[in-house]
Amino acid sequence: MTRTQSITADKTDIIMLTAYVLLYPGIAGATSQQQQETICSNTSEPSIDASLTSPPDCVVDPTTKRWLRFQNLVDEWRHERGAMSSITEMATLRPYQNIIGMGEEAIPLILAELKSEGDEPDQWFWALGAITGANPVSPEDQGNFAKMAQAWFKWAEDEGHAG
Amino acid sequence: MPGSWPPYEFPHLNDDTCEVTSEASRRYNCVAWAAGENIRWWWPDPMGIGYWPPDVPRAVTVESFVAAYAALGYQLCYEGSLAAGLEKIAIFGKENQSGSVVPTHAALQLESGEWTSKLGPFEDIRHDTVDRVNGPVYGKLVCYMSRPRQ
Repeated sequence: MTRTQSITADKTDIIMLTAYVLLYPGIAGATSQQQQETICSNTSEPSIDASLTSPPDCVVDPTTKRWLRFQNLVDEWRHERGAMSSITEMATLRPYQNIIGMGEEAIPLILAELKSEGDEPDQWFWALGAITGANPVSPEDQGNFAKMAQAWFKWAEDEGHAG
Repeated sequence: MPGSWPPYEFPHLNDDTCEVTSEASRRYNCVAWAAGENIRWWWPDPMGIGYWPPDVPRAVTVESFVAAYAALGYQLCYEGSLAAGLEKIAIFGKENQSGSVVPTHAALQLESGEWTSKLGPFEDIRHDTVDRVNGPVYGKLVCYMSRPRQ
Protein backbone atom coordinates (compact mmCIF):
# COMPACT_ATOMS: atom_id res chain seq x y z
CA MET A 1 0.00 0.00 0.00
CA THR A 2 1.34 3.41 -0.90
CA ARG A 3 1.42 6.25 1.60
CA THR A 4 -1.48 7.97 -0.21
CA GLN A 5 -3.58 4.83 -0.09
CA SER A 6 -2.76 4.43 3.56
CA ILE A 7 -3.87 7.98 4.32
CA THR A 8 -7.09 7.47 2.38
CA ALA A 9 -7.78 4.26 4.22
CA ASP A 10 -7.17 5.95 7.56
CA LYS A 11 -9.59 8.74 6.67
CA THR A 12 -12.20 6.22 5.56
CA ASP A 13 -11.75 4.34 8.81
CA ILE A 14 -12.38 7.49 10.80
CA ILE A 15 -15.53 8.27 8.79
CA MET A 16 -16.82 4.73 9.22
CA LEU A 17 -16.05 4.69 12.94
CA THR A 18 -17.82 8.02 13.38
CA ALA A 19 -20.82 6.65 11.52
CA TYR A 20 -20.91 3.62 13.81
CA VAL A 21 -20.79 5.74 16.91
CA LEU A 22 -23.60 7.93 15.60
CA LEU A 23 -25.63 4.93 14.59
CA TYR A 24 -24.99 2.90 17.71
CA PRO A 25 -24.48 5.42 20.55
CA GLY A 26 -23.69 2.77 23.14
CA ILE A 27 -20.89 1.30 21.14
CA ALA A 28 -18.32 3.94 22.02
CA GLY A 29 -17.75 2.30 25.38
CA ALA A 30 -17.84 -1.26 24.13
CA THR A 31 -14.83 -3.49 23.71
CA SER A 32 -13.53 -4.36 20.28
CA GLN A 33 -15.01 -7.82 20.59
CA GLN A 34 -18.39 -6.39 21.58
CA GLN A 35 -18.29 -3.98 18.66
CA GLN A 36 -17.51 -6.83 16.35
CA GLU A 37 -20.43 -8.87 17.60
CA THR A 38 -22.83 -5.94 17.58
CA ILE A 39 -22.09 -4.55 14.17
CA CYS A 40 -20.88 -7.48 12.16
CA SER A 41 -22.38 -10.56 13.69
CA ASN A 42 -22.16 -12.26 10.32
CA THR A 43 -18.45 -11.59 9.90
CA SER A 44 -16.29 -14.65 10.12
CA GLU A 45 -13.01 -12.86 10.92
CA PRO A 46 -13.11 -11.51 14.50
CA SER A 47 -10.78 -8.59 13.85
CA ILE A 48 -11.45 -4.93 14.62
CA ASP A 49 -9.71 -3.99 11.38
CA ALA A 50 -12.13 -6.10 9.39
CA SER A 51 -15.11 -4.40 11.03
CA LEU A 52 -13.74 -1.01 10.14
CA THR A 53 -12.80 -1.68 6.55
CA SER A 54 -15.96 -3.42 5.39
CA PRO A 55 -18.77 -1.32 6.84
CA PRO A 56 -21.03 -1.09 3.78
CA ASP A 57 -21.88 -4.76 4.26
CA CYS A 58 -22.55 -4.24 7.95
CA VAL A 59 -24.34 -0.92 8.28
CA VAL A 60 -27.99 -1.37 7.52
CA ASP A 61 -29.38 2.07 8.28
CA PRO A 62 -30.32 3.68 4.94
CA THR A 63 -29.60 7.21 6.18
CA THR A 64 -26.07 6.26 7.14
CA LYS A 65 -25.56 4.42 3.88
CA ARG A 66 -26.64 7.51 1.91
CA TRP A 67 -24.38 9.72 3.98
CA LEU A 68 -21.38 7.44 3.46
CA ARG A 69 -22.05 7.21 -0.26
CA PHE A 70 -22.37 10.99 -0.49
CA GLN A 71 -19.11 11.56 1.38
CA ASN A 72 -17.30 9.09 -0.88
CA LEU A 73 -18.64 10.87 -3.96
CA VAL A 74 -17.58 14.25 -2.53
CA ASP A 75 -14.04 12.93 -1.97
CA GLU A 76 -13.91 11.43 -5.46
CA TRP A 77 -15.20 14.62 -7.03
CA ARG A 78 -12.70 16.84 -5.24
CA HIS A 79 -9.89 14.54 -6.32
CA GLU A 80 -11.02 14.55 -9.97
CA ARG A 81 -11.79 18.28 -9.97
CA GLY A 82 -8.24 19.18 -8.96
CA ALA A 83 -7.31 22.68 -10.11
CA MET A 84 -10.13 23.07 -12.61
CA SER A 85 -11.59 26.53 -12.91
CA SER A 86 -14.45 25.50 -15.20
CA ILE A 87 -17.74 25.16 -13.34
CA THR A 88 -19.13 23.42 -16.41
CA GLU A 89 -16.38 20.82 -16.50
CA MET A 90 -16.38 20.09 -12.79
CA ALA A 91 -20.17 19.72 -12.71
CA THR A 92 -20.07 17.11 -15.45
CA LEU A 93 -17.58 14.86 -13.65
CA ARG A 94 -19.02 11.45 -12.86
CA PRO A 95 -19.02 11.73 -9.03
CA TYR A 96 -20.82 15.08 -9.20
CA GLN A 97 -23.39 13.67 -11.63
CA ASN A 98 -23.87 10.71 -9.28
CA ILE A 99 -24.62 13.14 -6.46
CA ILE A 100 -27.22 14.83 -8.66
CA GLY A 101 -28.51 11.36 -9.48
CA MET A 102 -29.24 10.76 -5.79
CA GLY A 103 -32.12 13.21 -6.28
CA GLU A 104 -33.99 14.77 -3.38
CA GLU A 105 -32.24 12.47 -0.90
CA ALA A 106 -29.06 14.44 -1.59
CA ILE A 107 -30.55 17.83 -0.67
CA PRO A 108 -30.07 17.62 3.13
CA LEU A 109 -26.62 16.10 2.62
CA ILE A 110 -25.55 18.88 0.26
CA LEU A 111 -26.95 21.57 2.55
CA ALA A 112 -25.12 20.06 5.54
CA GLU A 113 -21.89 19.93 3.53
CA LEU A 114 -22.38 23.53 2.43
CA LYS A 115 -22.99 24.61 6.01
CA SER A 116 -19.89 22.80 7.22
CA GLU A 117 -17.77 24.71 4.68
CA GLY A 118 -18.48 28.06 6.34
CA ASP A 119 -16.89 31.03 4.55
CA GLU A 120 -15.43 28.83 1.82
CA PRO A 121 -18.47 27.19 0.22
CA ASP A 122 -17.73 24.72 -2.54
CA GLN A 123 -19.52 24.31 -5.87
CA TRP A 124 -22.79 22.74 -4.74
CA PHE A 125 -25.07 25.26 -6.41
CA TRP A 126 -25.27 23.49 -9.75
CA ALA A 127 -26.36 20.28 -8.00
CA LEU A 128 -28.93 22.06 -5.84
CA GLY A 129 -30.35 23.83 -8.89
CA ALA A 130 -30.42 20.66 -10.98
CA ILE A 131 -32.16 18.60 -8.29
CA THR A 132 -34.69 21.17 -7.10
CA GLY A 133 -35.28 23.27 -10.21
CA ALA A 134 -35.09 26.30 -7.93
CA ASN A 135 -32.85 29.34 -8.24
CA PRO A 136 -33.01 31.48 -5.11
CA VAL A 137 -29.84 33.43 -5.94
CA SER A 138 -30.12 37.07 -7.00
CA PRO A 139 -28.33 37.84 -10.30
CA GLU A 140 -26.10 40.37 -8.52
CA ASP A 141 -24.83 37.60 -6.21
CA GLN A 142 -23.76 35.24 -9.00
CA GLY A 143 -20.22 34.02 -8.37
CA ASN A 144 -20.23 35.15 -4.74
CA PHE A 145 -20.46 31.71 -3.17
CA ALA A 146 -20.85 32.93 0.41
CA LYS A 147 -23.93 34.95 -0.54
CA MET A 148 -25.20 32.16 -2.76
CA ALA A 149 -24.94 29.72 0.15
CA GLN A 150 -26.98 32.07 2.34
CA ALA A 151 -29.65 32.29 -0.38
CA TRP A 152 -29.88 28.49 -0.50
CA PHE A 153 -30.07 28.21 3.30
CA LYS A 154 -32.97 30.67 3.22
CA TRP A 155 -34.61 28.65 0.46
CA ALA A 156 -34.15 25.46 2.49
CA GLU A 157 -35.76 27.06 5.51
CA ASP A 158 -38.72 28.27 3.46
CA GLU A 159 -39.14 24.86 1.83
CA GLY A 160 -38.85 22.93 5.08
CA HIS A 161 -35.46 21.38 4.32
CA ALA A 162 -33.73 23.00 7.29
CA GLY A 163 -32.34 20.37 9.61
CA MET B 1 6.11 21.20 -4.11
CA PRO B 2 5.32 24.73 -2.95
CA GLY B 3 1.51 24.53 -2.93
CA SER B 4 -1.39 22.18 -2.21
CA TRP B 5 -2.33 21.41 -5.83
CA PRO B 6 -1.78 17.91 -7.26
CA PRO B 7 1.77 18.01 -8.69
CA TYR B 8 0.87 15.90 -11.72
CA GLU B 9 -1.52 18.61 -12.89
CA PHE B 10 1.31 21.14 -13.19
CA PRO B 11 4.49 19.35 -14.21
CA HIS B 12 6.37 22.66 -14.74
CA LEU B 13 5.66 24.18 -11.32
CA ASN B 14 8.25 23.68 -8.61
CA ASP B 15 10.17 25.68 -6.02
CA ASP B 16 12.43 27.11 -8.71
CA THR B 17 9.68 28.25 -11.08
CA CYS B 18 6.91 29.55 -8.83
CA GLU B 19 6.08 31.00 -5.44
CA VAL B 20 2.80 30.72 -3.55
CA THR B 21 1.34 34.16 -2.89
CA SER B 22 -1.92 33.38 -1.07
CA GLU B 23 -3.74 30.77 0.94
CA ALA B 24 -5.95 28.33 -0.94
CA SER B 25 -9.46 29.67 -1.49
CA ARG B 26 -12.68 28.51 -3.11
CA ARG B 27 -14.02 32.06 -3.26
CA TYR B 28 -12.39 33.11 -6.53
CA ASN B 29 -10.74 31.59 -9.56
CA CYS B 30 -8.13 32.43 -12.16
CA VAL B 31 -10.49 34.35 -14.42
CA ALA B 32 -11.49 36.65 -11.54
CA TRP B 33 -7.87 36.96 -10.37
CA ALA B 34 -6.65 38.00 -13.84
CA ALA B 35 -9.49 40.52 -13.92
CA GLY B 36 -8.25 42.00 -10.65
CA GLU B 37 -10.65 40.64 -8.02
CA ASN B 38 -10.72 37.95 -5.37
CA ILE B 39 -14.29 37.79 -4.14
CA ARG B 40 -16.14 35.98 -6.93
CA TRP B 41 -15.76 32.94 -9.13
CA TRP B 42 -15.99 34.04 -12.78
CA TRP B 43 -17.33 31.53 -15.28
CA PRO B 44 -19.90 31.71 -18.12
CA ASP B 45 -21.72 28.50 -17.20
CA PRO B 46 -25.26 28.03 -18.46
CA MET B 47 -26.70 27.57 -14.94
CA GLY B 48 -25.75 31.10 -13.89
CA ILE B 49 -23.53 29.91 -11.04
CA GLY B 50 -20.43 31.94 -11.89
CA TYR B 51 -20.20 35.69 -12.32
CA TRP B 52 -19.89 36.91 -15.89
CA PRO B 53 -19.80 40.53 -17.04
CA PRO B 54 -23.20 41.83 -18.11
CA ASP B 55 -23.84 41.91 -21.85
CA VAL B 56 -21.13 39.33 -22.56
CA PRO B 57 -22.48 36.00 -23.90
CA ARG B 58 -22.45 33.22 -21.31
CA ALA B 59 -20.67 30.68 -23.47
CA VAL B 60 -17.59 28.66 -22.64
CA THR B 61 -15.68 29.84 -25.71
CA VAL B 62 -12.47 31.74 -26.25
CA GLU B 63 -14.54 34.44 -27.95
CA SER B 64 -16.63 34.93 -24.81
CA PHE B 65 -13.48 35.17 -22.65
CA VAL B 66 -11.97 37.73 -25.04
CA ALA B 67 -15.23 39.72 -24.88
CA ALA B 68 -15.25 39.56 -21.06
CA TYR B 69 -11.75 41.00 -20.80
CA ALA B 70 -12.50 43.47 -23.60
CA ALA B 71 -15.23 44.80 -21.32
CA LEU B 72 -12.38 45.64 -18.90
CA GLY B 73 -10.42 47.49 -21.59
CA TYR B 74 -8.18 44.68 -22.87
CA GLN B 75 -7.48 44.15 -26.56
CA LEU B 76 -5.93 41.17 -28.30
CA CYS B 77 -2.19 41.50 -28.78
CA TYR B 78 0.47 39.38 -30.41
CA GLU B 79 2.90 38.50 -27.65
CA GLY B 80 3.44 38.43 -23.91
CA SER B 81 6.75 40.15 -23.35
CA LEU B 82 6.88 42.92 -20.78
CA ALA B 83 6.01 46.27 -22.38
CA ALA B 84 6.23 49.58 -20.56
CA GLY B 85 2.83 50.95 -19.61
CA LEU B 86 0.95 47.84 -20.66
CA GLU B 87 -0.81 45.25 -18.51
CA LYS B 88 -1.18 41.86 -20.17
CA ILE B 89 -3.22 38.77 -19.60
CA ALA B 90 -2.92 35.32 -21.14
CA ILE B 91 -5.84 33.02 -21.88
CA PHE B 92 -5.28 29.27 -21.89
CA GLY B 93 -7.34 26.49 -23.43
CA LYS B 94 -7.39 22.91 -24.50
CA GLU B 95 -9.09 20.98 -27.27
CA ASN B 96 -12.31 19.19 -26.49
CA GLN B 97 -13.40 15.94 -28.11
CA SER B 98 -14.85 17.75 -31.12
CA GLY B 99 -11.61 19.61 -31.75
CA SER B 100 -12.76 23.01 -30.50
CA VAL B 101 -10.53 24.92 -28.12
CA VAL B 102 -12.29 25.59 -24.81
CA PRO B 103 -10.91 28.15 -22.37
CA THR B 104 -9.51 26.78 -19.14
CA HIS B 105 -7.44 29.44 -17.43
CA ALA B 106 -6.28 33.06 -17.39
CA ALA B 107 -3.06 34.55 -16.01
CA LEU B 108 -2.02 38.16 -15.38
CA GLN B 109 1.39 39.68 -16.05
CA LEU B 110 3.02 41.51 -13.14
CA GLU B 111 5.05 44.70 -13.48
CA SER B 112 8.19 42.60 -13.03
CA GLY B 113 7.38 40.64 -16.17
CA GLU B 114 6.52 37.54 -14.11
CA TRP B 115 2.99 36.15 -14.15
CA THR B 116 0.38 35.45 -11.50
CA SER B 117 -2.21 32.67 -11.61
CA LYS B 118 -4.91 31.38 -9.30
CA LEU B 119 -5.01 27.59 -9.53
CA GLY B 120 -8.69 26.65 -9.32
CA PRO B 121 -9.63 26.21 -5.64
CA PHE B 122 -5.97 26.17 -4.59
CA GLU B 123 -3.51 29.01 -4.01
CA ASP B 124 -2.54 31.84 -6.30
CA ILE B 125 1.06 31.87 -7.39
CA ARG B 126 3.73 33.97 -9.04
CA HIS B 127 5.42 32.09 -11.89
CA ASP B 128 8.49 33.12 -13.81
CA THR B 129 7.22 32.44 -17.31
CA VAL B 130 3.69 32.31 -18.64
CA ASP B 131 3.85 28.70 -19.82
CA ARG B 132 4.65 27.21 -16.40
CA VAL B 133 0.96 26.40 -15.91
CA ASN B 134 0.76 24.40 -19.14
CA GLY B 135 -0.33 20.85 -18.52
CA PRO B 136 -3.20 18.39 -18.52
CA VAL B 137 -5.66 20.69 -16.73
CA TYR B 138 -5.12 24.06 -18.42
CA GLY B 139 -3.73 22.91 -21.76
CA LYS B 140 -1.66 25.69 -23.29
CA LEU B 141 -1.63 29.35 -24.17
CA VAL B 142 -4.28 30.50 -26.64
CA CYS B 143 -3.89 34.28 -26.83
CA TYR B 144 -2.64 37.42 -25.12
CA MET B 145 -4.55 40.62 -24.41
CA SER B 146 -3.28 43.98 -23.17
CA ARG B 147 -4.50 47.33 -21.89
CA PRO B 148 -2.82 50.43 -20.47
CA ARG B 149 -1.52 49.56 -16.99
CA GLN B 150 -3.88 50.88 -14.31
